[in-house]
This record gives sequence, structure tokens and C-alpha cells, in this order.
Amino acid sequence: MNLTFNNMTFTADGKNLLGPLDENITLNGITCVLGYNGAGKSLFLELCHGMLEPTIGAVEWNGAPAITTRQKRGYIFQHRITLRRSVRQNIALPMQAAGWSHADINARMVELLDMAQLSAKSDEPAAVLSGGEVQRMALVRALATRPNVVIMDEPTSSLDPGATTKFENLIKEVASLGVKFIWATHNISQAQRFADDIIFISNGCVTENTPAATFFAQPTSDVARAYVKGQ
Amino acid sequence: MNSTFRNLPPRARPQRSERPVLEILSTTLRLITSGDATLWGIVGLSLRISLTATLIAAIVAIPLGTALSMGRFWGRRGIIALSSSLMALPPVVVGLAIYLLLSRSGPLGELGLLFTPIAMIIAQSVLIFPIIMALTTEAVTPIETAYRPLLHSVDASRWFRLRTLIIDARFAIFTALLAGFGRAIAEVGAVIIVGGNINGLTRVMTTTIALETSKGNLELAMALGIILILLAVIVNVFIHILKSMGAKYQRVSR
Repeated sequence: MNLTFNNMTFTADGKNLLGPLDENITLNGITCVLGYNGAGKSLFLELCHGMLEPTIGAVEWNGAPAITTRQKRGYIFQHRITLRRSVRQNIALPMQAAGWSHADINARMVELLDMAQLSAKSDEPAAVLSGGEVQRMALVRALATRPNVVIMDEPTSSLDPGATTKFENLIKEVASLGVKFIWATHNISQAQRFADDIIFISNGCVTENTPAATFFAQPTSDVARAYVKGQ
Repeated sequence: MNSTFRNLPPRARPQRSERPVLEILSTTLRLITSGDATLWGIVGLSLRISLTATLIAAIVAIPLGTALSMGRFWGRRGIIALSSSLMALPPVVVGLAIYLLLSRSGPLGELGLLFTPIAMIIAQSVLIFPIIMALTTEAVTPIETAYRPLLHSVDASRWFRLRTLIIDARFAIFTALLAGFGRAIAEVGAVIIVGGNINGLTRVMTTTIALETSKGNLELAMALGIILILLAVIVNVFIHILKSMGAKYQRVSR
């Protein structure tokens, strides 16, 4: 899986918010995106997924524009987004959007509900789920159409330790099936436990794109060093 | 006021029933419970006209109101403000405009629709269209704002987004429909102008009440009034039920 930023810049209201980026990112497993608040992580993720169009240049997945291949990836938001529907109907959304048949959706639904440990609550309104359950539902919803890549924007930032552990276990299980992750997090120990690679973003630029072991052993930039030290 | 009436010649004086109120009430109730053909004929026609008008207005207003909440284009706020203002359209003005359109010398005069139930349906549809559209936009907008990132992330088509939003705002949209129906069934100004209040053809509950009251036939007027109030109560009960049904799905995000 190759993600390429070709001389990409994203601007809004005349301000340069991200870039110029000329990066070639190979996804090996879990790639964690780190950086201070306001560094441009969420923007980076939205551009990776194709939810935003670059002002200049291009973002491509294996040579295809990100913006036209969104259905091949899943996306999990930091804040909870639940439809005013049952858990089952929430999970079905990407499959319905992709035009799957009812039979295919129902067959896939059994696996997904089981994976998220939400089978018992499948017909309840998603509004009654706890924060941890919502994010597990969001993860299986992102996985519904069998994407190769899932992009996550701080999915555990509002979860308690127990719910975070359950979510992390689910990530391990999914990653073992070969799904690649791009995962923005502020939790350094989480990144140390899970990341195969690290992308460090500072002031709208990628300052590090390196294996996790190398990054945590010896960050090359001063800003990344300070970040790892918690400064 | 009384002295004014006293000076009028006998024929011009408003007629007044001399019977006791209790007697009128008991006759009214008998009229309702006995299945009086005239009474229930008028009720049936009123319901047919107003339900058809609500359906026609809804078919156009719900998708338009939803599309308006989805769109991000110049002039959107202006259209929303305009549709909200049109909720207070004066019925007699709408009646007059449709009368001019449908009258023999009007652009649609050849269709011969004036003083028919169809003309009344058109008038009621026009009157309630902005109500249903504005209430739909108001109901869908917060849902659209909450759903937008998710629907964008799964690359949902415009049609799919429209359908999703209408389905998930269904309780509030039904409330908008009921509000529109309530306005339609209780309307008198426009339908009397374009319908003409013809007995057995275009005489509906509100126009009959106006006519029968002026004639002093209070029993029929009161019977229709009671049915109209009952309908309003039923509509409000439905609105309440729908709101509580929608509440359990309500927490959308954040």
C-alpha cells in the first residue's frame, strides 16, 4: 500500500495549512501520526482519505487519486457520529452507500457485530451505546466494505482505560487480518505499543516518516524530540 | 354595536337562534352520532381535499427542504428566509392569485378548474408548501450537519444522502406534514374563493361553518366545529407521539 503526496499543498482562506508535502509513505501495518495540537494531523488524515481536495498537487493511493477511491478505505472520527438508527443500521451505512445487496449486508453484519461484541445490542438505538461501544461500532462500520486501509483520528481520546483496552484489542485483531491503519494519537505509550511506523507532523509539514523503533530511539528533529519527552 | 344592528332593516340583521344552548348542543351531538349523510359527506370531502393537498405539497416540499439543508450555495440563506416568511401567506391572497390563474380569462382558465375540488387542492397545496418545506429544512439541518462528515467519508451519492436524511428526520418531517395538514383542513379564506362553497361539490367543513352560522343553523355548524377540533386534537396527539418516538434515536453526535 503506497500513499503518495505529490508536491501537495492545502490552503484555506489564503493561509497555508498543510504542505508543501512530497512524501512517499509505505504502509506496513500500523502507522501512527503524531504531532502537537494544531500541527495539521486531522487535515493530513482527511487529505489521506480524500475527504479534502489538495489546493495544489495530488494525494494518491497506489497511483489513484484519494478523492475518487474513498470507498476503498474506512475512516473513524474523533467525535462520535451515530445515525439516528439502530446499531445494525449504523454499521450497514457504508455497505448501503456502496450498493451492496440486502443478503450480502446481512451476511457481513453477523461477522461485524460479533467482532465488535455488539450482537446483543444490534437492534438498540446507537444513541444508547457507551463511548467505548460507539467507537467499536465506528471501527466495524469503517471495516464493513472490507477496506485495505482504515484511517483513525484519535479514536480513543475520549474513552476510559477499560474501553481503550477493548478498542486496542480489536485493532490488534483487525491488524492481524492484514488491514493497514493510519492512526492519529496523542498517547505516546499507545503509539509505542502499536506503531510499526511513525509520521510526525509539525507546523503543517511532515518532519519524520520513519520506523517506530527509530523514531522513539532517536527522533531527528528537535520538535519531535521535545514531543516524545512530553515537553 | 347593538345600536348599529338595531338601525338595520330586519332582513339585514344577523340572525340569531332563539333556542336554548343545551337544546342546540344535544341536536349537535345527535347529528354527529347519527351518521348524518350531509355532515359526514362534508367531513369526507374536507379530508379528501386536505389530505391530497398535503400529499402533493409533501412530494415537492420534503425533497426540496432536505436539499436546501444539504446545499452550500450562494443565496441559500435567502431561500430559507423566504420559505419561512411564506409560512404566513395570507390565505385570501393565495385564493385570489389562484382565482385569477384559474378564472375563465386567466392563463389556466381553459382547464375549467375554478369552483372544483381540484382548485381547492391547488390552493391548499400552495398554502402549506412553504410550511412543510421550512419545517423540513429546520428539522433536517442539524442532522445534516452531524452526518455530513460520515456521509462524505463513505463517498455517499447525493441521492443516497437525501434519502438517508429524509429517513432519519422522519419523525420531525411527519410533524411538519401534520402541521401542514392542520393548516389545510382549518383553512377557509382561499378555498371559499376558488371553491365557491357549492353544496355537495366544494362545500367543506370550514366554509360550511361560516355559511351555516350566518344562516343561524348552529347545529350543523357546531357539529362540524366539534369534528374540526377533534381533528386538531388528534393531529396534536400524533405530533406528540412522533416526537417521543424520535427522541430515543435523538443523540446524534459529539
